[in-house]
Amino acid sequence: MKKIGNLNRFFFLVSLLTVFSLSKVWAQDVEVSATVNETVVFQGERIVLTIAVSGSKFKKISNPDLPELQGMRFLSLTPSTSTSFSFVNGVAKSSYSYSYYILTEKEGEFTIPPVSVSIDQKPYKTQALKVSIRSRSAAAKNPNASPDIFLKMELSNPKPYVGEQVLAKVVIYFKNSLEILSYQPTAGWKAEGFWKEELNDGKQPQVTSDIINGVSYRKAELMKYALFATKSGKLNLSPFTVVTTVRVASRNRDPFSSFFGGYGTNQRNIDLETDAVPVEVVSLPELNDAIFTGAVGNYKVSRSITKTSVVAGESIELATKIQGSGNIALVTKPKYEFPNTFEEYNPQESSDINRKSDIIKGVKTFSDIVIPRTPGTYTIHEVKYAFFNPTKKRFETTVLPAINLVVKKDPRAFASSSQQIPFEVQPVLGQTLWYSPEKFTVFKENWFIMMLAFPFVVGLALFFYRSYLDKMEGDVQFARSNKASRKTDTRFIAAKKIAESDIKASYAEIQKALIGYVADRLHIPETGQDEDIYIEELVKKGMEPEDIKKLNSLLQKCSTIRFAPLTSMQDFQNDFQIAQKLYKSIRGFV
Amino acid sequence: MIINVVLFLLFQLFPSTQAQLKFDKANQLLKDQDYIGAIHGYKEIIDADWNSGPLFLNIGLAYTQLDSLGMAKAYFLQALEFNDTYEEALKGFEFTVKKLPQKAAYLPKLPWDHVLDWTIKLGTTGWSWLTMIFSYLSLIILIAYWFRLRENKWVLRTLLSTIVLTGFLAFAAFYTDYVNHRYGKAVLIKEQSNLLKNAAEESEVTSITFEGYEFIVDFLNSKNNSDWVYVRMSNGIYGWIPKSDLLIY
Repeated sequence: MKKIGNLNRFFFLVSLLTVFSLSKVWAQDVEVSATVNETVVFQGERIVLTIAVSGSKFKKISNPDLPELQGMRFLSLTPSTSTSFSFVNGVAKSSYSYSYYILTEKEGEFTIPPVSVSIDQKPYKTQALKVSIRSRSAAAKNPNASPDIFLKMELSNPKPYVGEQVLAKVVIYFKNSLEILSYQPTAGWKAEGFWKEELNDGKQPQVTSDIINGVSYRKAELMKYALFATKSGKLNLSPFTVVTTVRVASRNRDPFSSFFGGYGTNQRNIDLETDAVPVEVVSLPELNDAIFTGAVGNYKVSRSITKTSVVAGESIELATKIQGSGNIALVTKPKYEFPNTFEEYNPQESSDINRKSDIIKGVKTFSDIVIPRTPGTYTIHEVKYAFFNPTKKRFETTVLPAINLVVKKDPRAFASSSQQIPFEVQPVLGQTLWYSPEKFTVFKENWFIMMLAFPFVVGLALFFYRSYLDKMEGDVQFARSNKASRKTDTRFIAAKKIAESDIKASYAEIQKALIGYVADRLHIPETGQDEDIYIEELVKKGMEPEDIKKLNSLLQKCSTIRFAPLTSMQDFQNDFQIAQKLYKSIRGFV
Repeated sequence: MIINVVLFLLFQLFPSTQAQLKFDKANQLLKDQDYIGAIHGYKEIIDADWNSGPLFLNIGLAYTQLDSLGMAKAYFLQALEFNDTYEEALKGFEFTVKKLPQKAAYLPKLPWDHVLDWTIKLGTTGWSWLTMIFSYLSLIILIAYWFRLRENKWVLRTLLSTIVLTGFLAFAAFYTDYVNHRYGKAVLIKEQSNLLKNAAEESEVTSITFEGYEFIVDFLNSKNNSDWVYVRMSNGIYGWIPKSDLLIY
């Protein structure tokens, strides 16, 4: 058992070694590597990354899986490929290469991570590559380093005033061994905090010579800008980028320029970028007693008016002309105080600015359009217009003199109108009828209410009267009752009259008066009734017993007097007074 | 001194004399093309509670010359209410309508609107006097009927008709007074203004209105707001609008 055990261990070791040696052979059959044509380059230069795959026993290769780069970027993800075959000692060998252009962007030491390639479904990785990217401008300043080509932003004044023109030149420096075939500024340069105007004299850049740190360079001004700071403080001009196409005139062995001599053709595209440039903008001093509309430079200011004598309704143009060099494009319209009767319309503005020379010059004219509506003599007051002269470092003031204006009546003011629609309405002059607005309500006035109420009150009264009359006509008892007093009064008067000739007859009249009144009021027939009935009714109504007694006595006397032999006027008058008193008493409760 | 006393007495006896004097002065300013001064003079007359067709017409003309067409339209509309200036005011009104860039839409008037216009045109005082006249007429016919012509049925019918008519006239007087106090007219004098759902700046915009648009102002609904008024546009849309943007009359 022990021998057998040792034999088994031997076979296991042999098998293991065999498998290991076979796998190594197979693995060594495929080789994947990555190389760059330059490992030390300047910012903006292009390098070529090549992924090479070689071997004899593979069938399918996928495109390399490109990694994320730092400080650099792939210009295109589509590689240029090449293939080659060879026979060595009877063994066929295939080689594939994938080349990618990479643009170097940032200064520093960077690594291109391993690139993955899948060969026959099996992943392979290249080694990482180190690339050193250097700044051209820093190198230009470094006496020990001199780049072949670099871009620089040159300012005429790094400490300007707000609004003062700063000339910014984009200058390319390159060594004699290079030839600039073309250049293209990258669009979208933002000069934050500045108003920029591109200056273009229409000429091709002129190449001149210069020596930097003992190295001879040629230089050319590619672009020129006029910059006007819009705010004070420390500002930064962002880098300006130009894509250039250069050609190497001869092979250069400079360690920093190996790119130009080492790969394929001698014509290359290079992205050049200036450094950010700090600018310290100085604010303008205080100004109190003049109009300042942002003009910084050297200007002549004048003011003129189209007419000094107009008719009402006619338009006048007041032109303010600002001419000179400086931030003419940024100058705004001065505001004037016009008389109240002037109607102001939208002002107009025109400018003629020359951007061909290094200093921006021009003329700007502001036109205030006003229409005086009322005749009279008016004055547009004198004003002081100020601009800041950066050369003299102080404000300069121009006095714009007052303008006198005569506005005359328009004789055709109402006859016609300047508008297209005819307007022929004439004012009404002279005497007119005046009305007081109806603030009070007439039917709320007392006198009106009384007048209005009168017919209603009268109508109501007449209604009652008519009803009374109707009742008098239709209701006998009501009529008797209502007529009783009047009838009684008539009878008493008659009794008094009769008494002068026939006293006995007048007693009969008194009897009729009293009994008739009671009969009418109590709705008792007047004739054919016993006097006691009336007395009883009066007792029922509550007449005083004494009055009852007197009434009874008087009525008896009236009934019997005709049988009396003689009567005196004195007695009659006493009885007449008693009768009237009794009548009054009866009226009190009947 | 004597002249002053005479003038004082004249003004006391005939208050409209002062209005006429101011009117003549303002007219002179208008002739001198001092439109702003003329308008100031005319408005003094209005402030003194005097109205007339020529007054409103001349104010409209002055505003037309100043190219303030919204104001001009408002005064021409007021001048249209007077017979003596109706034709001239109509020309001025039509001119402003043509000149104003934004035209308003108008709902066609219903029969009731015509009746209402006619009712308002006669005025509360007119209706009140008619009520007075017919009430006395009713009284006379009543007396004749009750005391002389009791048996005549035609007199009775006439009496009843007259009483009913008197009641209608009284109702018309009250209704006209109610309408006059509740509603007013207005014209937008600002170039543009938003008609809002509620009386607040941040409220939802119901419609955009332009210079010269006419409105009916509801004073009853607006009484709790000093800066806003509730209005009805000529196209029937209701909403709130800043009071300062309107000339209410």
